[in-house]
Amino acid sequence: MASVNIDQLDIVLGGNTILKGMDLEVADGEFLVLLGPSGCGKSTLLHTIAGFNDVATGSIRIGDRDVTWADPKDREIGMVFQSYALYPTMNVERNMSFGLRVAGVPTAEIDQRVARAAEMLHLGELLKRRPAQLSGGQRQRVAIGRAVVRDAKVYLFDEPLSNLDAKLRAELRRELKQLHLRLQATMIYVTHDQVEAMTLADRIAVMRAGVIQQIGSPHDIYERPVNLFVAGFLGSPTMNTMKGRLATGDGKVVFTSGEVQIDVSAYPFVKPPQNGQEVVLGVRPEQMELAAQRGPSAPLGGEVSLIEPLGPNKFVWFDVGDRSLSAVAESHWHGQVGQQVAFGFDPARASLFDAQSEARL
Amino acid sequence: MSSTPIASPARRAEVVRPRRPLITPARIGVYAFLLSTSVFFLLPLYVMVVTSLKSAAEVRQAVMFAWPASPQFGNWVEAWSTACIALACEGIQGGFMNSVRLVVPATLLSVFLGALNGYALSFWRSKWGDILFGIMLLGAFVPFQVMIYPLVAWTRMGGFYNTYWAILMVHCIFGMPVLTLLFRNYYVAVPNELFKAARIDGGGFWRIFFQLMLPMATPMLIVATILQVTGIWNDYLFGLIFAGKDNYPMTVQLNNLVNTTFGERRYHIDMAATILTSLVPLLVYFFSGRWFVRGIAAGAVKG
Repeated sequence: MASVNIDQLDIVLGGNTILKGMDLEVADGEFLVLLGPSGCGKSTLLHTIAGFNDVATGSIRIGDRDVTWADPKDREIGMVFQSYALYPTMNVERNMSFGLRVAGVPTAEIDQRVARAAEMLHLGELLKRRPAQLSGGQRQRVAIGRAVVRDAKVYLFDEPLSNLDAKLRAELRRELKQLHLRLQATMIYVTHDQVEAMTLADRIAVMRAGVIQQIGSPHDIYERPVNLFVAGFLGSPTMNTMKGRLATGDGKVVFTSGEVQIDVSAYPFVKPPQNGQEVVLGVRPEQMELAAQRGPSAPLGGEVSLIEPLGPNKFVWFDVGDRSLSAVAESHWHGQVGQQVAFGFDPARASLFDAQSEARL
Repeated sequence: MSSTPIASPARRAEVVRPRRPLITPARIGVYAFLLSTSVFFLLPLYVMVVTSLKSAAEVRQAVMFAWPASPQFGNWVEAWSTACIALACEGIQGGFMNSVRLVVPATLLSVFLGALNGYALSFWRSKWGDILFGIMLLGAFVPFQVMIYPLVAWTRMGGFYNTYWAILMVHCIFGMPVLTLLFRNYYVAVPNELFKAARIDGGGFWRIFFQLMLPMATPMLIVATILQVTGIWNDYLFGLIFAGKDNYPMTVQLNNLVNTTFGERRYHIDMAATILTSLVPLLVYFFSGRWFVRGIAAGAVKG
């Protein structure tokens, strides 16, 4: 096990700069998730750590070794791919032991390590099967097993659950988390699925267009997104946003948008707000609290336009001005479409962004 | 919520699929076409087989389609072992041995090299790979007659013109463009992640090739082998030009046999020798037709 240090990394592929001046530190034993939309460079970064892309400038260190120019096989990594990438002509056992056989590990030790990995991933009965005879979930388990038997310093996961159906995905997600708890190994995991990121990560790095927007614990990223992009990328339904202006005076800060006026004095401003500053207010749907009627503590009122019952709770969509906002209501709330509702929220837990720079205030 | 019970199996069985009429104009047309084309292609084979079993007297009667009075299998034996080519009366068995001696190594070597090329071009992308591949493809479209004279001059310069090695090399070279294309198209469809996984597992160029990519390409290996075996076996021109007298393949021997005439033409022996010569590709197609079609189709779709 080891830490990973990436310093001032530039990646240029086919004349396009994919990553520019990337800095990233992954601590020993940490589970880091690289999260971002398609084409944000997260997979490129992972494949560069694995040694499949030439580095333009910068360096990559695994543990105390500089591996910037090392061959993939010399980096002491294990990798799991989205398409499983199992060797189709070999059975499960030989798939898992291929790397060890190449490395010339004694047979007895190979058997022992394969058996251990098979036990961890419940593959015992499948050892003699070919990949074609396995289901998708089993295949990905084998691929994880193949990475694990290597006793690598860092494990890399490239969207490993994307090809699985929802139920299997949840199941394997739990197994991966247990695996991390058991191995205490450094893991870097690429995904565009926010649920995987939230549930698995020690820290999440949210990427956009080759740049890390924010890196922090899942809680931090969810509760205090540094900009509108991060705020919008995490959470479902997405964070409610309203454009407006701040008015300061009398020791109070008031957010105004059309008819809506909200006292946001309790918001933990990093820099003192300016009078008349154009801002975007962001409130997560589950922070919305249903109120009996509109008032100072429930400043958002409107007509219900859609209700989505989920079982444990309901998504309520309502119109405020020309904006459609969402809130989470208890499952025993029995409102109707067309009904007038009012919602309030705690300004201290909301988010305010500058309208121009989109950065958190 | 109330749920409706699912229809019981007994009730479902009552629903009968409407039966389509067996004979429709379209079907008659299709079968008529299939039948006529089959006859068209099988008729020459029929005449060949029938003639090869006739006695010399029967051949002289010139009734092409008639069945032989008593099949003369001796004709086949004679064509194989005692028919005269120029002054040597040993049949075409020597040619058979020469062809086997050529087809087996030439097929193995060319298929191996084709697979290796395809593998290298698909996974180990080098700077000049695409250009090399382009040049090689060009080679597939240049009529090979153009290359014969330079090759003759070249092999003569190298001092191995009219030898076994010359014909072996020529077959390998001329097989290369198509085989490379075949394997490249097969490997291009293999996810690159598989290759990356093998790289992480420590595999080098040769290990990944021999332990992973070559076994994976079994369907293509079979197709390529069929292509090469039949192609090299049926070749006449290269054998005539490059092999030299001692290595003439069966096709050249057959031609010599047919063209060796002392007086009357012995059609029944010629036909017997022709059947013997075409037996190998015929058997290959017969037993591997399924594979052949599958491989060609796979290559076509994935390309």
